[in-house]
Amino acid sequence: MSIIPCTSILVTQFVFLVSLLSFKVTSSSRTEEESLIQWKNSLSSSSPLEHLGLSITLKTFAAGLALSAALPEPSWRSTSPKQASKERLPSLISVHFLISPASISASTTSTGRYHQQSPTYPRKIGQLKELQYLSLYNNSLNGTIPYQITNLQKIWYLDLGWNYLESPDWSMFSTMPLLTHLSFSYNELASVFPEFITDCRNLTHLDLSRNHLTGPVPDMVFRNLGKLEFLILVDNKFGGNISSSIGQLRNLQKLDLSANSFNSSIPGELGLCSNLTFLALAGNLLAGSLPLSLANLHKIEELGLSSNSLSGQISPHFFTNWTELVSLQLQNNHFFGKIPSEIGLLKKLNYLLLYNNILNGSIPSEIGNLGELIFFDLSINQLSGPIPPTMGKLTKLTLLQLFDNNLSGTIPLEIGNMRSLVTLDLNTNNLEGELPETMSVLNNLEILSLFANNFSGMIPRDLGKNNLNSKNVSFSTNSFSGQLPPRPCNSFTLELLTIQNNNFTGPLPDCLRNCSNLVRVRLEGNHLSGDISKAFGVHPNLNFISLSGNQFSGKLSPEWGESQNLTKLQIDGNKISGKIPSDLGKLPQLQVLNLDSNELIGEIPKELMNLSRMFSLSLSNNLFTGEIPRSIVLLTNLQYLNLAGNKFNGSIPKELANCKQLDSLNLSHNSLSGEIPSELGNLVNLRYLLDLSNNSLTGTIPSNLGKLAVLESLNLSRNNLTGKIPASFSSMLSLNSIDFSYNQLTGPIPNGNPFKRANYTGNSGLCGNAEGLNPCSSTSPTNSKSFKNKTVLIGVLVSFCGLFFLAFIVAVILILHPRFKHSKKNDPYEWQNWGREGMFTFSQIVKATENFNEKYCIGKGGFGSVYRAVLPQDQIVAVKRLSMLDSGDISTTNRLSFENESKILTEVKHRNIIKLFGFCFSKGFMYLVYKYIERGSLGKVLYGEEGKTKLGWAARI
Amino acid sequence: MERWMWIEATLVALAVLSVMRVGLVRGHSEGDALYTLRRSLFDPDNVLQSWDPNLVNPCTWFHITCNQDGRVTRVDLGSSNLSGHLVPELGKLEHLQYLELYKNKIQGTIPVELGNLKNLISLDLYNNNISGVIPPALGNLKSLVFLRLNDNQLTGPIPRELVGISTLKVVDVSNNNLCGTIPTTGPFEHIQLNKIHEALNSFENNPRLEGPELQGLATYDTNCS
Repeated sequence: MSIIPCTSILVTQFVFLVSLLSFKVTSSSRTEEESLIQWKNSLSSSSPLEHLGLSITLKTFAAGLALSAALPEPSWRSTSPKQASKERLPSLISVHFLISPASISASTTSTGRYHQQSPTYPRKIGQLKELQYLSLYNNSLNGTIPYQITNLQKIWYLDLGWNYLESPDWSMFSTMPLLTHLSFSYNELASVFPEFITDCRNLTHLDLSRNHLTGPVPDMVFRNLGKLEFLILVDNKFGGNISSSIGQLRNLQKLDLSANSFNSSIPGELGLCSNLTFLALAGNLLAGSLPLSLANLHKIEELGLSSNSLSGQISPHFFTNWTELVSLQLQNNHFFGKIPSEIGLLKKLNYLLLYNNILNGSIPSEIGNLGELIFFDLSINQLSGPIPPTMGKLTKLTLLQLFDNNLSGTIPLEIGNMRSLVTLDLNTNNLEGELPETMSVLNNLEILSLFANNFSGMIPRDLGKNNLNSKNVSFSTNSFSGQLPPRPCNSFTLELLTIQNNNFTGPLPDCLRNCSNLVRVRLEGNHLSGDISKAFGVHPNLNFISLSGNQFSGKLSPEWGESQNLTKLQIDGNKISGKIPSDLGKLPQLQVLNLDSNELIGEIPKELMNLSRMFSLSLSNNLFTGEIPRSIVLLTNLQYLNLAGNKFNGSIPKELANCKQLDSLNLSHNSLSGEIPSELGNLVNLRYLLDLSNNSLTGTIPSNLGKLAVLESLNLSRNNLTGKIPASFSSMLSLNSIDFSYNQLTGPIPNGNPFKRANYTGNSGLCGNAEGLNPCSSTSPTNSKSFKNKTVLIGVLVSFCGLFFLAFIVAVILILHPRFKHSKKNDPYEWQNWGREGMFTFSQIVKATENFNEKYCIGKGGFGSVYRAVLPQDQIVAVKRLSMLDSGDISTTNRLSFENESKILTEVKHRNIIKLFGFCFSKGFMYLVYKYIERGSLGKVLYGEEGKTKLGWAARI
Repeated sequence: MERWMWIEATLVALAVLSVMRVGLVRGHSEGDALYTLRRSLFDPDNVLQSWDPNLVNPCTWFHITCNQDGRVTRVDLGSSNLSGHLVPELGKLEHLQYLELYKNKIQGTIPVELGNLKNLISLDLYNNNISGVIPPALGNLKSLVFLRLNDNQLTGPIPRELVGISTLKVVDVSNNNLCGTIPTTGPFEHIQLNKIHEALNSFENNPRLEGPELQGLATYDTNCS
């Protein structure tokens, strides 16, 4: 990027496509001539070359001699061709081939760039063995760079920059011993560092910038190329260390390694390159502190180390030595400590950018000595103390940014001397006091940002009066008071006006009405007054306006409809009266309309329903009347709707259910009547609020509302609702605040914890387990807590009994039955093995029993059934399934104790107690998984035919 | 001339740097985090149009809610036709209570950093194309009440770390490709029981999910990691 927009303009004025300087007439001129002609023919458009009479020129070398004297040398591109010295111009016969832009544009592209299409040109160019100077800069050459180019053994200047050339096989390249200038800048090279360059030992200028080169920069570059003056590698993907060998480049004047991925520290040896005037390492991953040896760079004029991870303190030694500095950019690093007062020695400094570091201490008053400063930015540090009054001496300063620090004190009077200031940004500090009157004379000021300080008092009356360019004025979040200055926008250039959260009073300045460039206006949280319809006019660029919490009066002007870019119109908390003008419906970008808490009357204009981008509509606490328009269905993006606290009547339109994005709906405190449309249950995204309270709604609560599974707050209080609260409400799992109070609801309340905490006051017919309600009678047992608890308790107890009984039975079988007595399977070691290997899951059990199909049932008891499940590993388990249908309310204590007991059982190892492998709860059942023991139940054994034979009375006793 | 050039270069560099600067909300890491999210999302309906990084904080951005101190508490971007990825920077919104990104086309994984959102009440990522695992770090969300990750392409187990979130009231991970077993302890006791009467279950349609965990000594090998 450092390369020359300006040169390129100059160059294109002259455009030399082919500059063949010092083209000696020799015996080999015949083949050279042929090479050129062949190449010429390979170019996609030959006609412009013929315009130039390439062949004629070639045949008349004598004429070319005169030409060469007349034209400036196309010099190294970092200088302008116009200014290049002619010192280098060799006293050789030279030929220039020039193409005028006109002839190029006439026949090729409008950009005047050549497209090399045939791949044959490159090889031929190698035959121009006498060529000393070749510049193909700024064309559209593509393909790989031909290795034959290194046959040009006499060449000292080679510039292939600003083309589309790709990486060749660099190993084919040989050294070019006389080469002093080499540029491949702004191409598509994507290899490692081209090795042949490290042998071009006479190089003084090397520019590989703006490619995609990767890997490290080889040490050989620094060891071999001792003559380098310019090394420009900016904007590649070089990485790794910056080698300490770089100190060997003693002739280096300009080093630009910006925008790469170097990740070492800055080598101290860089301080040996004492001829450096330009050092740019910005935009890498460099860490560590600045080596003190850099203080040796006495000639340094521009130092750019921004956007790295550099840290440490900034030593005063640097500033005593770097007295030639014009630009110092250390921003976006982690430098800490104080700014040394020696910074005042940098008298030539134009740019001083230290923002976004961790600097502390105060701003040294010696800053005032930097009379040449143009940009000064210390933002986003931890600086404290005052703004030094000496800064008033910085009369050339155009940008002063000190925001996001801890600066205190007042703005010095001397600020009035900084007549060049365009940007003054002091936001987010602890600055206080009144603004000095002298600020009014800063007539170039465009940006004045003072928000988030402790400023107080009135704004100087003349602020803005002399200023013709102010664009951005921010006083917000201070303690300013009094009226706004009468002419803050004299020239109507104001774009951003943010003065919210102050104590401003009185009317808005008249000129605001004519500020047609306004983009963003925030006046909320003041005590501003006056007729709003006169304060604002037509603002076609206005995007965001917030006037909330003031005392504005008057009506909403139809002119608002002309602010076609308005996305947010927020005037809540004022004294606006009259109707909503239907013109608001003409604002296609409007997304938020907030007119809460005013004195607005009339109906909601139908036209508002055209605002299809609107996602937030808030009209609460006004005096609106009429019905909620059915066409509200057109607001398909609506997420937030608040019409509370008005006089809306009629019924709730069922069409509202089509505003599917609604996450908050508040229609409370109106005069709505009729039933709650069951369709509201389709608003499945309702999340934060459904408030229909304080209306005159009648009928029953639709059970469809039970579908609002993500709703957190439901208020149906103070209506005339009758009937039961639908049982379906128990699936509104997210509810956290519920209010049914002051209706005529009857019957049991829904299941579930949230409903135990709901407000049921003033509904005499409700019953259930909640504060202030009577338990329901036994005729509705499913909702009786006490009954349920009993059921659960009995269930659990009986389950336990069943469990122990089963264990007991099996134990008895095992004790009594000789076949089991010494069974291997009861060997504890064997069991442990089995346990480790016998891994199974619930789903395997489900599969094995075909979801507890009757045919796998091997026994039934009062509280559940036992199933036999053959698992994939051929393990057989007995699964007891106990119903817990009403265990939704099972107390945690009961459950925990059951779990603990069961766990203990699973750990019991006794040869005569049947093994309980595990247990779980799922879908209203409790499952106990036992090892399966054959031979049925003890009952069968005791009472069955088989038992009679096998277990004689003796055995039984 | 050369000097002139350099100054021009400096100006260009300045321009670039200033562009870099406006690229992030000045000194406001929450705005930065949200702007990073914006850049990572494709937004055909322009719902994020107002997310202007030049503003000093994100509190006036649409679909963002802040508390009194200007800290972001809600991100409401459900059903907004967004695609793209979530970003780790979301973990910096330390006052966030509601992260509502349901019913979009968001891809990629759930950033582990969401586990840093100590104040998060609701994490609603349902109905997206999110893949990868449920980060165990979500177990750090000690204020979480609602965790709805259903209808995505999540894999791996339900992290047992979630069992430690005592506030958790609603979990829905149905319609994913999770494996392993369903926790039954801690808040999951009630989450299980709550769904007794429901036809739809918070865990259904995870073909590799093996049902509730069996407690006791039965061990598992569900090929789920």
